[in-house]
Amino acid sequence: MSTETHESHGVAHVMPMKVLINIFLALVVLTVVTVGATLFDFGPYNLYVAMAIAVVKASLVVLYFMHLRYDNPFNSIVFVGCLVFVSLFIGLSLTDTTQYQHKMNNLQAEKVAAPNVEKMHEGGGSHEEHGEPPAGKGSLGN
Amino acid sequence: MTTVAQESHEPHEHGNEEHLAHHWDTPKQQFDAGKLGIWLFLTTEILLFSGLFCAYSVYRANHPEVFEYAHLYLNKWLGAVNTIVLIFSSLTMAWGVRAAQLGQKKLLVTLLGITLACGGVFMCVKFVEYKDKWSHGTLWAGEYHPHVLPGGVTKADVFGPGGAAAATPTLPNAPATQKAFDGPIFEGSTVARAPAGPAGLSAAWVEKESAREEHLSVRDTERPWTGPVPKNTQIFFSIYFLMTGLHGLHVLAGMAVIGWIMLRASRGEFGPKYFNPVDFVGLYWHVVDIVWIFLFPLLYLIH
Repeated sequence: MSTETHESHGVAHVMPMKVLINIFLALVVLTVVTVGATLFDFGPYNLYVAMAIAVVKASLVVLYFMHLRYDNPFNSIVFVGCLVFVSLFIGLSLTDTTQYQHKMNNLQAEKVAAPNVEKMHEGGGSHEEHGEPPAGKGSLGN
Repeated sequence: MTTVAQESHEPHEHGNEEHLAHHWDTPKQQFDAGKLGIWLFLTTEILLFSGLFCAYSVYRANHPEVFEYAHLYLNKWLGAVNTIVLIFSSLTMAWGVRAAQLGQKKLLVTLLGITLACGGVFMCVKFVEYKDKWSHGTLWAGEYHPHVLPGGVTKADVFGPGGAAAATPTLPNAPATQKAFDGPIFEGSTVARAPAGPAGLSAAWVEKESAREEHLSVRDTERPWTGPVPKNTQIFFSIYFLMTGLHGLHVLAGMAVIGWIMLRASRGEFGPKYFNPVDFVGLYWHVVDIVWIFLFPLLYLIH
């Protein structure tokens, strides 16, 4: 019985108020930063900058608001294991997703007027060209 | 639970632990098992959302231009406000768990109330956004019939009071399907403009078309849309509604369970010895926040 009081107080870590407020302020600052980042063009890295900020924000929430840093390590294993499967899922799906795009474009081109077929074939090979189709020509057909 | 515990076990072992179920030895064991359970549930939630994030990634890898164009329809300031609202609600939730652990009953009920209100504000902003999408005709898949261009420019702004059908000029090289405001294939501006004059477009149409382009670039001066309007813009809105819709359902579910523990907290059921439901509902609410932390830049801040 003597250990019971100790145990119920030791059930979980109590987060200090200062930490909670600081994490909140950091999250607000990072939200402002991610909106502000849209004013700058990092070229192909725009997405990575936005995702890096989001990952930092999510980590702060998980580690401090969700107590994972002070938690039973087994919960961390469960969570990180989940992230491994998420990255396998999305990563493997992305490995070949652009491989069939030119075939689909050809298929679409056949449905539209015949003169468009060649143009679409030219423009449909890589998705780089999809990113910034030159005005008036390119993969969209005109 | 207490009576069951007392009947099936030694009364003196659990007599002081009102909330300790009979199949646990200690409150810590009960808490740790419950917490592991909620973490396992949260992994299934993350995997559920990752299916939609996967769809997003595949479509964006294949059609980046669709995402770069269609996101101009979204109001990034409403998205930013909702991000701050959810982050603040995460603070009040985490603070609420602390209040429960310290036995601050009044503070706990107040903080849960604020968290609930934040969920309400989030859903109200979401409602305003969905209403705009509805009135602009920018819905999912086959329901994508935009009446306006990203700048909020209407048919009448572009083509005059007669609307597109009456005023869209027949362009020499345009396939029959290319009408700016008709249906999912929205590629009016992929057509190079014919010269004005007796054989080409009317001067009035050219003027209106220029006004439209100006409007488009005025809306977002840092990143005006200059290229052709891409095909299959409806893909973006299908993904937008699926992702934000599923997230919105999770916010509603979160509000329901927060309301439930708020009721229990007001009855004084939680304290330093037993705050498990507050902690577990909080963990769920933080995951809802994390999903939005990723949705906001992926949907609203594309550039």
